[in-house]
Amino acid sequence: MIESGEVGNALIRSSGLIGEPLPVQSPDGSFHSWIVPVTVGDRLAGILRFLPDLTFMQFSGFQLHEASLEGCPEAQGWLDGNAVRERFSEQLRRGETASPPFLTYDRYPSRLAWASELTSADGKVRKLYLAGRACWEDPGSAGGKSFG
Amino acid sequence: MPLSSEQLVRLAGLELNAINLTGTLPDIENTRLSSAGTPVYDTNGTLLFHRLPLLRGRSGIGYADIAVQEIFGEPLLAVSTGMAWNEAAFIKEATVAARSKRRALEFDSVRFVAYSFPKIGIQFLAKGKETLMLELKTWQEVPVAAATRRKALEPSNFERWSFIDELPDDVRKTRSTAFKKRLDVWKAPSLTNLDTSVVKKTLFEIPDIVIKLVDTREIHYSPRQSDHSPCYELRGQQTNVWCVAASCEMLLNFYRYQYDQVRLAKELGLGTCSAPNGLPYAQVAKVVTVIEKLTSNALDATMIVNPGWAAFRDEIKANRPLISFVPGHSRTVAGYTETLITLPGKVPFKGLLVYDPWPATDCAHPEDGGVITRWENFATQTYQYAYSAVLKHV
Repeated sequence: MIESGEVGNALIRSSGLIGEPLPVQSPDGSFHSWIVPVTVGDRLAGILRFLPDLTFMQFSGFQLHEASLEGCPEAQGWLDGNAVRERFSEQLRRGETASPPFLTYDRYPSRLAWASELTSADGKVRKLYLAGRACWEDPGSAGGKSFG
Repeated sequence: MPLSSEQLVRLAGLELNAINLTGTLPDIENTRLSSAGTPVYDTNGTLLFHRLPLLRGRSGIGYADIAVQEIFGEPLLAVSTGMAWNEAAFIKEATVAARSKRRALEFDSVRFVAYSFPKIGIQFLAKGKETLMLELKTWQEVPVAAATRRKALEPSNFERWSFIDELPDDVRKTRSTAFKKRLDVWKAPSLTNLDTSVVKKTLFEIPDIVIKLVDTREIHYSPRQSDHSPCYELRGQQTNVWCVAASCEMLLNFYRYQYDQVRLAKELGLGTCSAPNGLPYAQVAKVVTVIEKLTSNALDATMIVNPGWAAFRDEIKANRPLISFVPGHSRTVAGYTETLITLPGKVPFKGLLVYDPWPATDCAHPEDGGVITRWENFATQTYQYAYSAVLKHV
Protein backbone atom coordinates (compact mmCIF):
# COMPACT_ATOMS: atom_id res chain seq x y z
CA MET A 1 0.00 0.00 0.00
CA ILE A 2 2.83 2.36 0.83
CA GLU A 3 4.82 1.49 -2.26
CA SER A 4 1.84 1.99 -4.54
CA GLY A 5 1.22 5.42 -3.01
CA GLU A 6 -2.21 4.52 -1.63
CA VAL A 7 -1.03 5.68 1.79
CA GLY A 8 2.01 7.50 3.13
CA ASN A 9 4.16 9.96 1.21
CA ALA A 10 7.51 10.26 -0.54
CA LEU A 11 9.55 10.37 2.68
CA ILE A 12 7.88 7.26 4.03
CA ARG A 13 8.25 5.45 0.71
CA SER A 14 11.94 6.23 0.47
CA SER A 15 13.00 5.88 4.11
CA GLY A 16 10.20 4.13 5.97
CA LEU A 17 10.75 0.80 7.61
CA ILE A 18 7.76 -1.50 8.09
CA GLY A 19 7.82 -3.00 11.59
CA GLU A 20 6.44 -6.22 12.99
CA PRO A 21 2.65 -6.23 13.32
CA LEU A 22 1.41 -5.76 16.87
CA PRO A 23 -1.91 -7.21 18.05
CA VAL A 24 -4.37 -4.84 19.69
CA GLN A 25 -6.50 -6.38 22.43
CA SER A 26 -10.01 -5.33 23.29
CA PRO A 27 -10.44 -4.33 26.92
CA ASP A 28 -12.00 -7.77 27.48
CA GLY A 29 -8.79 -9.39 26.28
CA SER A 30 -10.03 -10.57 22.89
CA PHE A 31 -8.11 -9.82 19.70
CA HIS A 32 -9.37 -6.64 18.07
CA SER A 33 -7.01 -5.56 15.30
CA TRP A 34 -3.45 -5.34 14.06
CA ILE A 35 -1.27 -2.29 13.91
CA VAL A 36 1.75 -2.20 11.67
CA PRO A 37 4.22 0.54 12.58
CA VAL A 38 6.20 2.50 10.03
CA THR A 39 9.39 4.05 11.38
CA VAL A 40 11.89 6.44 9.86
CA GLY A 41 15.11 6.33 11.86
CA ASP A 42 14.17 6.43 15.54
CA ARG A 43 10.80 8.09 14.86
CA LEU A 44 7.37 6.58 14.51
CA ALA A 45 6.11 8.07 11.25
CA GLY A 46 2.80 6.27 11.02
CA ILE A 47 0.66 3.29 11.82
CA LEU A 48 -1.32 1.04 9.51
CA ARG A 49 -4.28 -0.62 11.15
CA PHE A 50 -6.15 -3.72 10.00
CA LEU A 51 -9.09 -5.76 11.25
CA PRO A 52 -8.40 -9.43 12.06
CA ASP A 53 -9.50 -10.43 8.52
CA LEU A 54 -6.90 -7.92 7.27
CA THR A 55 -9.49 -5.39 6.11
CA PHE A 56 -7.69 -2.07 5.94
CA MET A 57 -8.93 0.27 8.66
CA GLN A 58 -6.66 3.27 8.41
CA PHE A 59 -3.24 4.75 7.99
CA SER A 60 -2.43 7.37 10.59
CA GLY A 61 0.63 9.52 10.12
CA PHE A 62 2.33 11.61 12.78
CA GLN A 63 4.14 13.90 10.34
CA LEU A 64 2.99 17.50 10.42
CA HIS A 65 4.69 18.12 7.07
CA GLU A 66 5.24 15.57 4.37
CA ALA A 67 8.93 16.28 3.93
CA SER A 68 9.94 16.23 7.59
CA LEU A 69 9.58 14.15 10.72
CA GLU A 70 8.27 17.04 12.78
CA GLY A 71 5.44 15.77 14.92
CA CYS A 72 6.65 12.17 14.94
CA PRO A 73 7.19 10.70 18.41
CA GLU A 74 10.12 8.53 19.36
CA ALA A 75 9.36 5.04 18.14
CA GLN A 76 10.48 3.32 21.32
CA GLY A 77 7.81 5.12 23.34
CA TRP A 78 5.19 3.23 21.31
CA LEU A 79 6.96 0.09 20.16
CA ASP A 80 9.56 -0.89 22.72
CA GLY A 81 7.96 -3.01 25.43
CA ASN A 82 10.74 -2.20 27.89
CA ALA A 83 10.40 1.53 27.38
CA VAL A 84 6.64 1.27 27.87
CA ARG A 85 7.12 -0.84 31.01
CA GLU A 86 9.50 1.82 32.30
CA ARG A 87 6.85 4.51 31.82
CA PHE A 88 4.32 2.45 33.76
CA SER A 89 6.79 1.72 36.55
CA GLU A 90 7.15 5.49 37.05
CA GLN A 91 3.48 5.50 38.03
CA LEU A 92 3.76 2.77 40.67
CA ARG A 93 2.69 3.59 44.17
CA ARG A 94 4.42 2.08 47.16
CA GLY A 95 3.85 -1.67 47.23
CA GLU A 96 2.29 -1.87 43.75
CA THR A 97 3.39 -4.24 41.01
CA ALA A 98 2.63 -3.79 37.31
CA SER A 99 1.46 -6.44 34.86
CA PRO A 100 3.25 -6.67 31.52
CA PRO A 101 1.93 -3.86 29.34
CA PHE A 102 -0.34 -4.70 26.44
CA LEU A 103 -1.59 -2.73 23.47
CA THR A 104 -5.30 -2.01 23.70
CA TYR A 105 -7.65 0.94 23.72
CA ASP A 106 -9.44 2.97 26.33
CA ARG A 107 -13.10 2.02 25.89
CA TYR A 108 -13.24 2.77 22.15
CA PRO A 109 -10.98 1.47 19.37
CA SER A 110 -10.06 4.96 18.22
CA ARG A 111 -8.40 5.60 21.61
CA LEU A 112 -5.39 3.36 21.04
CA ALA A 113 -3.17 3.04 24.10
CA TRP A 114 -0.90 0.78 26.09
CA ALA A 115 -2.34 -0.54 29.32
CA SER A 116 -1.02 -2.18 32.45
CA GLU A 117 -2.76 -3.40 35.57
CA LEU A 118 -1.18 -2.20 38.78
CA THR A 119 -1.83 -4.34 41.82
CA SER A 120 -1.31 -3.06 45.35
CA ALA A 121 -0.06 -5.14 48.28
CA ASP A 122 -3.64 -5.60 49.54
CA GLY A 123 -4.76 -6.88 46.12
CA LYS A 124 -6.47 -3.76 44.77
CA VAL A 125 -6.10 -3.39 41.03
CA ARG A 126 -6.10 -0.21 38.98
CA LYS A 127 -5.62 -0.03 35.26
CA LEU A 128 -3.42 2.60 33.71
CA TYR A 129 -3.34 3.73 30.10
CA LEU A 130 -0.49 5.31 28.26
CA ALA A 131 -0.65 7.07 24.88
CA GLY A 132 1.89 9.62 23.82
CA ARG A 133 2.51 12.05 26.62
CA ALA A 134 -0.71 11.16 28.38
CA CYS A 135 -0.99 8.61 31.16
CA TRP A 136 -4.29 8.12 32.96
CA GLU A 137 -6.23 5.77 35.12
CA ASP A 138 -9.09 3.73 33.70
CA PRO A 139 -12.20 5.79 34.47
CA GLY A 140 -14.29 2.63 34.66
CA SER A 141 -17.98 2.92 33.99
CA ALA A 142 -17.95 6.64 34.77
CA GLY A 143 -15.92 7.38 31.66
CA GLY A 144 -17.99 5.28 29.34
CA LYS A 145 -20.71 7.80 28.63
CA SER A 146 -18.71 10.63 27.23
CA PHE A 147 -16.76 11.66 24.17
CA GLY A 148 -13.09 12.20 24.82
CA MET B 1 -25.20 -1.40 -31.83
CA PRO B 2 -22.96 -4.36 -31.06
CA LEU B 3 -19.26 -3.63 -30.78
CA SER B 4 -16.88 -4.93 -33.41
CA SER B 5 -14.06 -7.23 -32.29
CA GLU B 6 -11.57 -4.36 -32.48
CA GLN B 7 -13.83 -2.08 -30.44
CA LEU B 8 -14.32 -4.79 -27.86
CA VAL B 9 -10.60 -5.43 -27.42
CA ARG B 10 -9.99 -1.71 -27.17
CA LEU B 11 -12.72 -1.29 -24.56
CA ALA B 12 -11.27 -4.17 -22.58
CA GLY B 13 -7.81 -2.61 -22.81
CA LEU B 14 -9.04 0.73 -21.50
CA GLU B 15 -10.97 -0.86 -18.66
CA LEU B 16 -8.12 -3.13 -17.62
CA ASN B 17 -5.56 -0.36 -17.75
CA ALA B 18 -7.80 1.85 -15.65
CA ILE B 19 -8.52 -0.71 -12.99
CA ASN B 20 -4.87 -1.75 -12.94
CA LEU B 21 -3.97 1.84 -12.18
CA THR B 22 -6.22 1.89 -9.14
CA GLY B 23 -4.30 -1.03 -7.65
CA THR B 24 -7.45 -2.94 -6.75
CA LEU B 25 -6.53 -6.04 -8.75
CA PRO B 26 -3.93 -8.73 -8.47
CA ASP B 27 -0.91 -8.22 -10.68
CA ILE B 28 -2.00 -7.85 -14.31
CA GLU B 29 0.78 -5.44 -15.24
CA ASN B 30 2.29 -6.19 -18.65
CA THR B 31 -0.46 -8.55 -19.69
CA ARG B 32 -2.02 -8.20 -23.13
CA LEU B 33 -5.25 -9.02 -24.91
CA SER B 34 -4.82 -10.92 -28.13
CA SER B 35 -8.37 -11.27 -29.40
CA ALA B 36 -12.02 -10.62 -28.68
CA GLY B 37 -12.04 -14.05 -27.09
CA THR B 38 -15.09 -16.15 -26.53
CA PRO B 39 -18.65 -14.87 -26.92
CA VAL B 40 -20.87 -15.98 -24.05
CA TYR B 41 -24.63 -16.02 -24.51
CA ASP B 42 -27.63 -15.73 -22.27
CA THR B 43 -29.93 -18.77 -22.12
CA ASN B 44 -32.40 -16.77 -24.26
CA GLY B 45 -29.82 -16.67 -27.04
CA THR B 46 -28.70 -13.05 -26.66
CA LEU B 47 -24.98 -12.29 -26.59
CA LEU B 48 -24.08 -11.31 -23.00
CA PHE B 49 -20.34 -10.77 -22.79
CA HIS B 50 -16.97 -11.78 -24.18
CA ARG B 51 -14.32 -13.64 -22.26
CA LEU B 52 -10.92 -12.39 -23.36
CA PRO B 53 -7.76 -14.34 -22.60
CA LEU B 54 -5.03 -12.43 -20.75
CA LEU B 55 -1.52 -13.25 -21.89
CA ARG B 56 1.86 -12.49 -20.47
CA GLY B 57 4.40 -13.23 -23.14
CA ARG B 58 3.00 -16.36 -24.75
CA SER B 59 1.50 -17.75 -21.58
CA GLY B 60 -2.13 -17.40 -20.65
CA ILE B 61 -2.48 -16.06 -17.10
CA GLY B 62 -6.22 -15.52 -16.89
CA TYR B 63 -9.12 -13.76 -18.54
CA ALA B 64 -11.32 -10.70 -18.45
CA ASP B 65 -15.08 -10.64 -19.02
CA ILE B 66 -16.30 -7.62 -20.98
CA ALA B 67 -20.02 -6.91 -21.17
CA VAL B 68 -21.82 -6.46 -24.42
CA GLN B 69 -25.16 -5.79 -22.77
CA GLU B 70 -25.71 -2.40 -21.15
CA ILE B 71 -27.76 -3.97 -18.38
CA PHE B 72 -24.57 -5.00 -16.61
CA GLY B 73 -23.97 -1.35 -15.73
CA GLU B 74 -20.24 -1.49 -16.33
CA PRO B 75 -18.20 -2.97 -19.14
CA LEU B 76 -15.66 -4.83 -17.03
CA LEU B 77 -17.44 -7.73 -15.32
CA ALA B 78 -14.61 -9.78 -13.93
CA VAL B 79 -10.91 -10.37 -14.08
CA SER B 80 -9.53 -13.74 -13.15
CA THR B 81 -5.91 -14.75 -12.88
CA GLY B 82 -4.41 -18.14 -12.19
CA MET B 83 -6.27 -20.14 -14.85
CA ALA B 84 -5.59 -19.59 -18.55
CA TRP B 85 -8.62 -19.31 -20.84
CA ASN B 86 -8.32 -21.68 -23.77
CA GLU B 87 -11.59 -21.87 -25.69
CA ALA B 88 -10.49 -24.59 -28.11
CA ALA B 89 -9.24 -26.84 -25.32
CA PHE B 90 -12.50 -26.46 -23.38
CA ILE B 91 -14.59 -27.33 -26.45
CA LYS B 92 -12.43 -30.38 -27.09
CA GLU B 93 -12.80 -31.50 -23.49
CA ALA B 94 -16.55 -30.86 -23.55
CA THR B 95 -16.96 -32.83 -26.75
CA VAL B 96 -15.23 -35.85 -25.24
CA ALA B 97 -17.48 -35.59 -22.18
CA ALA B 98 -20.58 -35.21 -24.35
CA ARG B 99 -19.71 -38.24 -26.45
CA SER B 100 -19.20 -40.33 -23.34
CA LYS B 101 -22.70 -39.38 -22.16
CA ARG B 102 -24.41 -39.68 -25.53
CA ARG B 103 -22.55 -41.65 -28.14
CA ALA B 104 -25.04 -40.66 -30.85
CA LEU B 105 -25.12 -36.95 -30.02
CA GLU B 106 -25.62 -34.82 -33.09
CA PHE B 107 -24.49 -31.22 -33.30
CA ASP B 108 -23.19 -28.80 -35.88
CA SER B 109 -22.17 -25.93 -33.66
CA VAL B 110 -21.06 -25.21 -30.11
CA ARG B 111 -21.29 -22.07 -28.01
CA PHE B 112 -20.70 -20.90 -24.47
CA VAL B 113 -23.78 -20.01 -22.45
CA ALA B 114 -24.10 -18.33 -19.06
CA TYR B 115 -26.73 -20.84 -17.99
CA SER B 116 -26.83 -19.26 -14.53
CA PHE B 117 -24.74 -16.10 -14.73
CA PRO B 118 -21.83 -16.11 -14.02
CA LYS B 119 -21.79 -19.93 -14.28
CA ILE B 120 -21.00 -21.08 -17.76
CA GLY B 121 -21.88 -24.13 -19.79
CA ILE B 122 -21.08 -25.37 -23.27
CA GLN B 123 -24.10 -25.76 -25.48
CA PHE B 124 -24.20 -28.24 -28.36
CA LEU B 125 -26.62 -27.30 -31.15
CA ALA B 126 -27.95 -28.97 -34.27
CA LYS B 127 -29.53 -26.63 -36.82
CA GLY B 128 -29.75 -23.95 -34.14
CA LYS B 129 -31.51 -26.20 -31.60
CA GLU B 130 -29.86 -27.35 -28.40
CA THR B 131 -29.10 -31.04 -28.15
CA LEU B 132 -27.09 -30.91 -24.93
CA MET B 133 -25.57 -28.45 -22.48
CA LEU B 134 -22.75 -29.34 -20.11
CA GLU B 135 -21.48 -27.26 -17.25
CA LEU B 136 -17.96 -26.02 -17.86
CA LYS B 137 -15.30 -28.21 -16.26
CA THR B 138 -17.65 -30.42 -14.21
CA TRP B 139 -19.24 -31.59 -17.51
CA GLN B 140 -22.51 -32.26 -15.75
CA GLU B 141 -25.59 -31.97 -17.92
CA VAL B 142 -27.34 -28.67 -17.28
CA PRO B 143 -31.05 -29.32 -16.68
CA VAL B 144 -33.62 -27.62 -18.88
CA ALA B 145 -35.27 -24.49 -17.50
CA ALA B 146 -37.49 -25.23 -14.51
CA ALA B 147 -41.21 -24.86 -15.06
CA THR B 148 -41.95 -23.93 -11.46
CA ARG B 149 -42.52 -20.30 -10.60
CA ARG B 150 -40.14 -18.62 -8.20
CA LYS B 151 -38.99 -15.11 -7.38
CA ALA B 152 -36.79 -13.46 -10.00
CA LEU B 153 -33.02 -13.77 -9.48
CA GLU B 154 -33.43 -16.47 -6.86
CA PRO B 155 -32.48 -19.62 -8.74
CA SER B 156 -31.49 -22.86 -7.12
CA ASN B 157 -27.85 -23.86 -7.11
CA PHE B 158 -27.97 -25.80 -10.39
CA GLU B 159 -30.64 -24.25 -12.53
CA ARG B 160 -30.82 -22.80 -16.00
CA TRP B 161 -32.24 -19.28 -16.10
CA SER B 162 -31.99 -16.10 -18.13
CA PHE B 163 -30.06 -13.20 -16.63
CA ILE B 164 -31.57 -10.81 -19.15
CA ASP B 165 -35.16 -11.91 -18.67
CA GLU B 166 -35.06 -11.92 -14.88
CA LEU B 167 -33.42 -8.54 -14.31
CA PRO B 168 -36.03 -6.04 -13.02
CA ASP B 169 -36.85 -3.15 -15.33
CA ASP B 170 -35.75 -0.42 -12.92
CA VAL B 171 -32.34 -2.04 -12.41
CA ARG B 172 -32.02 -2.53 -16.14
CA LYS B 173 -32.69 1.16 -16.73
CA THR B 174 -30.28 2.44 -14.08
CA ARG B 175 -27.51 0.16 -15.17
CA SER B 176 -27.94 0.99 -18.84
CA THR B 177 -27.53 4.67 -18.06
CA ALA B 178 -24.37 3.96 -16.05
CA PHE B 179 -22.99 1.80 -18.83
CA LYS B 180 -23.50 4.50 -21.44
CA LYS B 181 -21.84 7.07 -19.21
CA ARG B 182 -18.80 4.85 -18.86
CA LEU B 183 -18.55 4.36 -22.61
CA ASP B 184 -18.73 8.12 -23.06
CA VAL B 185 -15.64 8.50 -20.85
CA TRP B 186 -13.69 6.28 -23.20
CA LYS B 187 -14.83 8.19 -26.26
CA ALA B 188 -12.73 11.21 -25.31
CA PRO B 189 -10.73 12.37 -28.34
CA SER B 190 -7.55 12.46 -26.25
CA LEU B 191 -7.73 8.68 -25.86
CA THR B 192 -8.16 7.91 -29.53
CA ASN B 193 -4.55 7.10 -30.30
CA LEU B 194 -3.74 5.32 -27.08
CA ASP B 195 -2.34 1.82 -27.50
CA THR B 196 -4.34 -0.16 -24.97
CA SER B 197 -3.24 -3.61 -26.04
CA VAL B 198 -0.83 -3.98 -23.12
CA VAL B 199 -1.85 -3.36 -19.50
CA LYS B 200 0.62 -0.98 -17.93
CA LYS B 201 0.37 1.61 -15.18
CA THR B 202 2.07 4.25 -17.31
CA LEU B 203 -0.57 4.20 -20.02
CA PHE B 204 -2.45 7.22 -18.77
CA GLU B 205 0.65 9.20 -17.83
CA ILE B 206 0.45 11.28 -20.93
CA PRO B 207 0.22 15.06 -21.00
CA ASP B 208 -3.27 16.42 -21.56
CA ILE B 209 -4.88 13.11 -20.72
CA VAL B 210 -6.77 13.13 -17.48
CA ILE B 211 -8.64 10.00 -16.51
CA LYS B 212 -10.61 10.37 -13.33
CA LEU B 213 -10.28 7.09 -11.48
CA VAL B 214 -10.48 8.51 -8.00
CA ASP B 215 -12.49 11.38 -6.59
CA THR B 216 -10.32 13.03 -3.96
CA ARG B 217 -10.68 16.37 -2.29
CA GLU B 218 -9.11 18.18 0.63
CA ILE B 219 -9.94 21.35 2.45
CA HIS B 220 -8.27 24.31 0.76
CA TYR B 221 -7.97 27.98 1.46
CA SER B 222 -10.84 28.59 -0.93
CA PRO B 223 -13.28 26.31 -2.74
CA ARG B 224 -11.03 26.43 -5.81
CA GLN B 225 -9.33 23.06 -5.69
CA SER B 226 -6.59 24.08 -8.11
CA ASP B 227 -5.32 26.98 -6.00
CA HIS B 228 -2.93 26.95 -3.07
CA SER B 229 -2.14 24.06 -0.81
CA PRO B 230 -4.32 22.10 1.51
CA CYS B 231 -5.12 24.42 4.35
CA TYR B 232 -5.82 22.62 7.58
CA GLU B 233 -3.90 21.98 10.77
CA LEU B 234 -3.75 19.25 13.38
CA ARG B 235 -4.22 19.90 17.09
CA GLY B 236 -3.53 17.24 19.68
CA GLN B 237 -5.92 16.92 22.60
CA GLN B 238 -4.28 18.31 25.72
CA THR B 239 -5.79 15.80 28.10
CA ASN B 240 -6.92 12.25 27.48
CA VAL B 241 -10.56 13.40 27.41
CA TRP B 242 -10.44 16.69 25.50
CA CYS B 243 -11.00 15.35 22.01
CA VAL B 244 -14.05 17.56 21.55
CA ALA B 245 -12.16 20.68 22.59
CA ALA B 246 -9.32 19.81 20.21
CA SER B 247 -11.79 19.13 17.41
CA CYS B 248 -13.50 22.48 17.95
CA GLU B 249 -10.08 24.14 18.03
CA MET B 250 -9.21 22.66 14.63
CA LEU B 251 -12.49 23.70 13.07
CA LEU B 252 -12.33 27.21 14.51
CA ASN B 253 -8.68 27.61 13.48
CA PHE B 254 -9.71 26.91 9.91
CA TYR B 255 -12.00 29.93 10.10
CA ARG B 256 -9.15 31.95 11.74
CA TYR B 257 -10.57 31.96 15.24
CA GLN B 258 -7.87 31.45 17.84
CA TYR B 259 -9.14 29.90 21.05
CA ASP B 260 -6.88 27.65 23.04
CA GLN B 261 -8.10 24.34 24.33
CA VAL B 262 -8.24 25.46 27.94
CA ARG B 263 -10.76 28.13 26.98
CA LEU B 264 -12.68 25.78 24.71
CA ALA B 265 -12.78 23.15 27.44
CA LYS B 266 -14.25 25.72 29.79
CA GLU B 267 -16.93 26.69 27.28
CA LEU B 268 -17.77 23.04 26.65
CA GLY B 269 -17.77 22.17 30.34
CA LEU B 270 -14.80 19.83 30.10
CA GLY B 271 -13.02 20.90 33.30
CA THR B 272 -9.42 21.97 33.56
CA CYS B 273 -6.01 20.62 32.63
CA SER B 274 -5.63 19.06 36.06
CA ALA B 275 -9.24 17.90 36.44
CA PRO B 276 -10.56 17.24 32.94
CA ASN B 277 -13.66 15.37 31.85
CA GLY B 278 -15.16 14.25 28.54
CA LEU B 279 -18.29 15.61 26.89
CA PRO B 280 -21.28 13.61 28.16
CA TYR B 281 -23.34 11.87 25.49
CA ALA B 282 -26.37 13.86 26.56
CA GLN B 283 -24.59 17.12 25.76
CA VAL B 284 -23.64 16.58 22.13
CA ALA B 285 -25.63 19.64 21.07
CA LYS B 286 -23.24 21.82 23.05
CA VAL B 287 -20.77 21.74 20.18
CA VAL B 288 -23.21 23.75 18.08
CA THR B 289 -23.87 26.38 20.73
CA VAL B 290 -20.20 26.82 21.59
CA ILE B 291 -19.09 27.21 17.96
CA GLU B 292 -21.81 29.77 17.33
CA LYS B 293 -21.13 31.62 20.56
CA LEU B 294 -17.38 31.84 20.05
CA THR B 295 -17.81 33.16 16.53
CA SER B 296 -20.50 35.63 17.55
CA ASN B 297 -22.81 33.65 15.26
CA ALA B 298 -20.64 34.27 12.22
CA LEU B 299 -20.62 30.51 11.88
CA ASP B 300 -23.92 28.70 11.58
CA ALA B 301 -23.23 25.25 13.04
CA THR B 302 -25.33 22.17 12.39
CA MET B 303 -25.36 18.76 14.01
CA ILE B 304 -25.94 15.79 11.68
CA VAL B 305 -27.09 12.56 13.32
CA ASN B 306 -25.76 9.30 11.83
CA PRO B 307 -23.99 11.04 8.96
CA GLY B 308 -23.58 9.06 5.77
CA TRP B 309 -20.86 9.27 3.16
CA ALA B 310 -22.69 12.00 1.23
CA ALA B 311 -22.76 14.29 4.27
CA PHE B 312 -18.98 14.24 4.55
CA ARG B 313 -18.36 14.40 0.82
CA ASP B 314 -20.72 17.29 0.21
CA GLU B 315 -19.33 19.38 3.06
CA ILE B 316 -15.75 18.85 1.90
CA LYS B 317 -16.77 19.72 -1.63
CA ALA B 318 -18.15 22.96 -0.21
CA ASN B 319 -14.73 23.47 1.41
CA ARG B 320 -16.01 23.07 4.94
CA PRO B 321 -14.31 20.81 7.48
CA LEU B 322 -16.46 18.77 9.83
CA ILE B 323 -16.22 17.56 13.38
CA SER B 324 -16.92 13.82 13.46
CA PHE B 325 -18.06 11.91 16.53
CA VAL B 326 -17.41 8.17 16.52
CA PRO B 327 -18.13 6.00 19.55
CA GLY B 328 -16.37 7.64 22.49
CA HIS B 329 -14.22 9.95 20.42
CA SER B 330 -14.23 13.09 18.33
CA ARG B 331 -12.04 14.11 15.41
CA THR B 332 -12.27 16.40 12.41
CA VAL B 333 -12.59 15.50 8.75
CA ALA B 334 -10.82 17.57 6.11
CA GLY B 335 -10.92 15.43 2.99
CA TYR B 336 -12.17 12.34 1.28
CA THR B 337 -11.24 9.88 -1.42
CA GLU B 338 -13.41 7.51 -3.37
CA THR B 339 -12.44 5.10 -6.13
CA LEU B 340 -14.68 5.57 -9.14
CA ILE B 341 -13.88 2.33 -10.89
CA THR B 342 -14.10 -1.14 -9.48
CA LEU B 343 -15.38 -4.55 -10.41
CA PRO B 344 -19.14 -5.05 -10.27
CA GLY B 345 -20.17 -6.36 -6.90
CA LYS B 346 -17.07 -4.95 -5.22
CA VAL B 347 -17.57 -1.95 -3.00
CA PRO B 348 -15.44 1.00 -4.10
CA PHE B 349 -13.02 2.20 -1.46
CA LYS B 350 -14.21 5.26 0.40
CA GLY B 351 -11.87 6.93 2.83
CA LEU B 352 -11.88 10.04 4.98
CA LEU B 353 -8.96 12.30 5.74
CA VAL B 354 -9.20 12.53 9.52
CA TYR B 355 -7.32 14.99 11.69
CA ASP B 356 -7.39 13.01 14.90
CA PRO B 357 -6.39 14.71 18.18
CA TRP B 358 -5.47 11.28 19.56
CA PRO B 359 -2.97 10.38 21.00
CA ALA B 360 -3.12 13.04 23.65
CA THR B 361 -0.46 15.49 24.66
CA ASP B 362 -0.56 17.68 27.78
CA CYS B 363 -1.31 21.32 28.47
CA ALA B 364 2.41 22.09 28.69
CA HIS B 365 2.99 20.81 25.16
CA PRO B 366 0.02 21.97 23.05
CA GLU B 367 2.06 21.65 19.87
CA ASP B 368 2.29 17.86 20.25
CA GLY B 369 -0.17 15.01 19.91
CA GLY B 370 -2.60 13.80 17.30
CA VAL B 371 -2.29 12.01 14.00
CA ILE B 372 -3.43 12.65 10.46
CA THR B 373 -5.26 9.59 9.22
CA ARG B 374 -5.16 9.36 5.47
CA TRP B 375 -7.29 7.34 4.88
CA GLU B 376 -9.86 6.01 7.34
CA ASN B 377 -11.84 3.24 5.64
CA PHE B 378 -15.40 4.53 5.79
CA ALA B 379 -16.73 0.97 5.85
CA THR B 380 -14.95 0.09 9.10
CA GLN B 381 -16.09 2.96 11.32
CA THR B 382 -19.36 3.97 12.98
CA TYR B 383 -20.23 7.61 12.49
CA GLN B 384 -22.58 8.90 15.18
CA TYR B 385 -22.62 12.66 14.74
CA ALA B 386 -21.04 15.20 12.47
CA TYR B 387 -20.93 18.97 12.82
CA SER B 388 -20.58 21.36 9.97
CA ALA B 389 -20.24 25.10 10.17
CA VAL B 390 -21.26 27.50 7.44
CA LEU B 391 -19.86 30.98 7.33
CA LYS B 392 -22.71 33.43 7.16
CA HIS B 393 -22.47 35.89 4.33
CA VAL B 394 -23.93 39.35 4.31
